[in-house]
Amino acid sequence: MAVPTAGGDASAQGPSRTYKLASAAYRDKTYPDGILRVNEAGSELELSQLTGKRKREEAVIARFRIEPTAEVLVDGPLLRVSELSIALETPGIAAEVADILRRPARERETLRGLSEAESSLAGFLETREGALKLLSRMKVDPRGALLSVESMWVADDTEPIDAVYSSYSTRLSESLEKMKSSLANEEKNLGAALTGRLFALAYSIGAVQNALFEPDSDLVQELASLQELGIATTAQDLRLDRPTERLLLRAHGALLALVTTRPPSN
Amino acid sequence: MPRCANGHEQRLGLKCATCGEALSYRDSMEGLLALPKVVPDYGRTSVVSVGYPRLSLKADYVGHISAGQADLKTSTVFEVASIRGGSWLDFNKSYLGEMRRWLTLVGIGKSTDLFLVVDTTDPLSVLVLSALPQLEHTAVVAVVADQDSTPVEQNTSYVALSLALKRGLPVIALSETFQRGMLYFTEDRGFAAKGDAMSRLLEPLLEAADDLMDLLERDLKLGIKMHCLSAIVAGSKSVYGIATNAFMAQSYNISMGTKPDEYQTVHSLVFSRRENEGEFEKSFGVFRNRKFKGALNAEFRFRETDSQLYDMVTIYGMKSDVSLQGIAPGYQAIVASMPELSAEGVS
Repeated sequence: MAVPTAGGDASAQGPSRTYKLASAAYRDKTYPDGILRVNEAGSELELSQLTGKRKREEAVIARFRIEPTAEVLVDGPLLRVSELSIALETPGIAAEVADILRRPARERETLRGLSEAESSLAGFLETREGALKLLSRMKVDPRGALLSVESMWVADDTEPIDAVYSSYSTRLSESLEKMKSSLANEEKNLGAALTGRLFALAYSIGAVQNALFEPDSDLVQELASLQELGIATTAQDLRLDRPTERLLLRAHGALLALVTTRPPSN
Repeated sequence: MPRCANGHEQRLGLKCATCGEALSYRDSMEGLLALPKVVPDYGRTSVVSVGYPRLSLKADYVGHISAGQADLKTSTVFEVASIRGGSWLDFNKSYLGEMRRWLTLVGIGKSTDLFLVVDTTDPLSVLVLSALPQLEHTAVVAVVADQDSTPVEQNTSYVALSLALKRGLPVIALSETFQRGMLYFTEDRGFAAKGDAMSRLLEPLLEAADDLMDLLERDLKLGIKMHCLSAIVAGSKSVYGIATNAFMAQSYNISMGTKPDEYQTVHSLVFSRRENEGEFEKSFGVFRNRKFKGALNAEFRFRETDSQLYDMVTIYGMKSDVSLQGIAPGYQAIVASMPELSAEGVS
């Protein structure tokens, strides 16, 4: 039986859940009538035993942190983690405890996945920003712009500007594929909603880049869209140098919030 | 464009404005692959100077090609490291590929008109004219070696001029002696000599670039590629008197001497206040009838200015071989000892 106790134990961090154990073994000693407390974050465990004549007093046997890398094994009602082996009342309860204990590892994996996904987004969007920046310069200083990307022009029988378009087209295709593949790979960790949000973010920043390329754009729709994505900014701010990098930095906070407010299990 | 589960498309946002469903962006990402098409504007008039690193000109684009301390490439400068004792052939061997590449990158020939201002005694002149693609609306203002020049200069100049003519480019030639003696004075800017004088001479010509190119291309159709010129910069009534005097006076200081009957066309461009147009036009007629009655073509072009002073430039079309004849002996003398420096050997 699980009894969530919000801050029930002063030693545990945050709200915790309490489970009655059929038996427990810790460091080669067995304990009948054990009680297990797990904090909601899944990072701390406390094993205690009921003592006294009426078994009403509780003596803490062990209290320890669970590393996110710790292996959590479940076999029916039996659960093993670190040096602790416990038998819970039912296999369902054992699965529930295991799920809580696996949360830190899962979150770590989600954060790693988010970081990978953000990096792939940055790869694509910054390539695109570079291309649009060059094309903007091409409008006012075509000679300087082309000389600055001279290395893109390798075949003398083509026009330099065609070579620039072709090179950027290849780079963009490659980085978009990389981004899509990264998001597809990470979707199992991030979940469909967060992955969808990352696609929306990439597209919206792309729309901002397009708007910035047009000197007369008022950016109203783009700003509203960014606002929905949790990014507060202004048209003036967007017109400063490296808008993509700054937008992605601001988006990171909103994405992290989505990670931490996700349901406990996929 | 992103769309919701019900197929409604929407430009941006998280929820569909029509049905409230969540928008999906997954299938819209390819839309970000398209880059806007930019058609670069290279301007109307471009000038590329060769061997004049400090020429100060007003045009949509001014590029300079010269030899200096080290290799340097920017959008307006192509500087190569000097080759000690190097002939035009050495520069061609070392820099032809790079030169072609730079000319393409700076969009040579992409403006409406292109003027090459070339010191043909400079070995780089051959390099540039070798590297130049086949272009329309392109003319060469060339400082040409003369009998006072060394045989090496004459050889270089001969090869460069031959190349320009072979490519069908109209040439306005100024002898080295004429160019050295150019000296202009204006009250607001003082004396101008050497490169400054060249800049001052080219200033009105570039302002009337489309007229000048038109005249040169008309002559080209008559088979006339080679021209020389005479000019009055900052002229005034108090100095020259009536306009006919000005036309006559300037014709005594022509940039490349030849016999008057060898001039096949004569065109004058005058830059003055509107009220003087009639007088200049009439005087041009008198000037032409008096000195160039047999000319195949003669045209007068007028450009209005605010200044009390006027500029007058007259270009004279002549037979192509005239400019080459004078320097042929020096050219031949070099080729006799170094056959690889012949005009035929240039790529």
